Amino acid sequence: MQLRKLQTAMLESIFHPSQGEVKPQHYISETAVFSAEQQLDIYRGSIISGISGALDNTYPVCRQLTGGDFFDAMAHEYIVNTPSLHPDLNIYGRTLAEFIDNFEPANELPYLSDIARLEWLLAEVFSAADERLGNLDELAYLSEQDLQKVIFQLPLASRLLQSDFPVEAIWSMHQGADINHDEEINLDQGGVKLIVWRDGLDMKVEILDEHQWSFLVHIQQQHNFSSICESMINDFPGVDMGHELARVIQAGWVSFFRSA
Amino acid sequence: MSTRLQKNGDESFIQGVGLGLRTPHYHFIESTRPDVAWFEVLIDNYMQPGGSPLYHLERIARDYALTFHGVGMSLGSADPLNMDYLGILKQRINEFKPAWVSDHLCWSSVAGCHGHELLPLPYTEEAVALVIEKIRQVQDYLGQRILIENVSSYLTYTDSQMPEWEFLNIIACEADCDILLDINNIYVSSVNHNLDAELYLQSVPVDRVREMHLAGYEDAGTHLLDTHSRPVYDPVWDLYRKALRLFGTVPTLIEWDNDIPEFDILVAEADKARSCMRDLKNAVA
Repeated sequence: MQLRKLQTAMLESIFHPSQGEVKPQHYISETAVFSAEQQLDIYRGSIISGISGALDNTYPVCRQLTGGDFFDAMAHEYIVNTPSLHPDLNIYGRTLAEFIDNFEPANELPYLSDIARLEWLLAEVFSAADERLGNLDELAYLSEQDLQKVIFQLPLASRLLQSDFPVEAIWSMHQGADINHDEEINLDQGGVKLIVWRDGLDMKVEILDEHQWSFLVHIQQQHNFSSICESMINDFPGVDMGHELARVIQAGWVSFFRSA
Repeated sequence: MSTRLQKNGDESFIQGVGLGLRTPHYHFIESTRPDVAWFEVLIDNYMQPGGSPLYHLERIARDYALTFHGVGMSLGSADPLNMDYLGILKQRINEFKPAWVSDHLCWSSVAGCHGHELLPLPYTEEAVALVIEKIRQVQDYLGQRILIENVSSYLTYTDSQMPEWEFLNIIACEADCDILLDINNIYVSSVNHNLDAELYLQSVPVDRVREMHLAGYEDAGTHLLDTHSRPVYDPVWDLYRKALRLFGTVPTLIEWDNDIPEFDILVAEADKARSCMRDLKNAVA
């Protein structure tokens, strides 16, 4: 059998045992101990558990929230429907949140997909590119006119997330060894706007107020400072933009600037 | 000149028994600087651009010689090589200057889909030709020889036309690459397929074996599984001693990837391997 045909049939059989025209007995020899299908089953088990283990690593809070058996079953459904397209297993699972949105058995946990989004962003930020010290000190030497043209940059190791649920509270409750299972979170307390970022090697999830969120979203969209001021003064009459700029810089949520 | 620059990129520093570098041991290694001959880096875990993995690797690379070991080349895949993967690998080689780079004689992906498993190849002329070509391309691109490692297997293909050792030999000689001989894998496959492990060893070209791997398997009752989750078992130590007599005191690595124990357990395993090497030297003397 041609190598490509064999390899394609084998992966197909591993992820979709009942599908595919070329069955394992066409390319695997039966032994005294094992049928062809049983031999392939050994690999099927190690492949599914290996990829599932990667999802466990990336989504530990989702696993805690659903329970191990539920998460394993959900992960299996995801894995057989979502091929890994990159040799780096560490970056598998980017679309799990969208999968959860359409995974009916998870409907009882309406916040689960947003927890998955948060955990994926944490994984991205964890190994995002390091950044040299920015040029923000030079802001002080700009004229008012030049300052208006500035375009700021969020740190490379940062992501923004908005949720209709108190995902930061849910996530925080599941950090560390001493998880208090009796603690309850009121889902009616409303949603949150977050920044997930890395301060050195420390991973941080912080709640943003409306001004901070608006400022950072404008930065993410690469608006210049003049446009940001115009938009925010319109949305938040009386806002002190000098104060808001100082706050996001002091927090470490702006890494450098360039002039448009 | 830093220790790192003195040590890295120089194969002469890779001697004796090394250990696989694993995340749970970062802190211990950085804070105590244990006496370890070298560390083998599972380079697929350092492909992302920044953060904690590269931070720790840089710190450890200052004091220890390194080799790179990969699982992502998929040298036996019918697909073309993944040049994005190789590009990052080349970048890491330039940054850390490992003494050498190894990957596996296997396939793990096809049609762009990755199984993340070291799947065996059918031992056919087609596979021989394909892998030789792939290894040549990799070596040309990286500008250096690579080592290829024999994998454990749990199945036999109907199309195979030659024993595994012949497959390995032809490829290594024709592609002009070196061999990372995994003694545990030979043992696991020999039990699973009722093969002669000693004949396997005797058939491997001596001058191409640059490194050996030792690890622990799990006994599933009907077959052995190469899990890297246990100490090296006695039959593997026996086979290792025979390998040392054939190949000499080739640099040897203790691999442990699952249920990773405290660092001193790994050191104890390394001590056993060193003892095997000493016994051989004493016998020769």
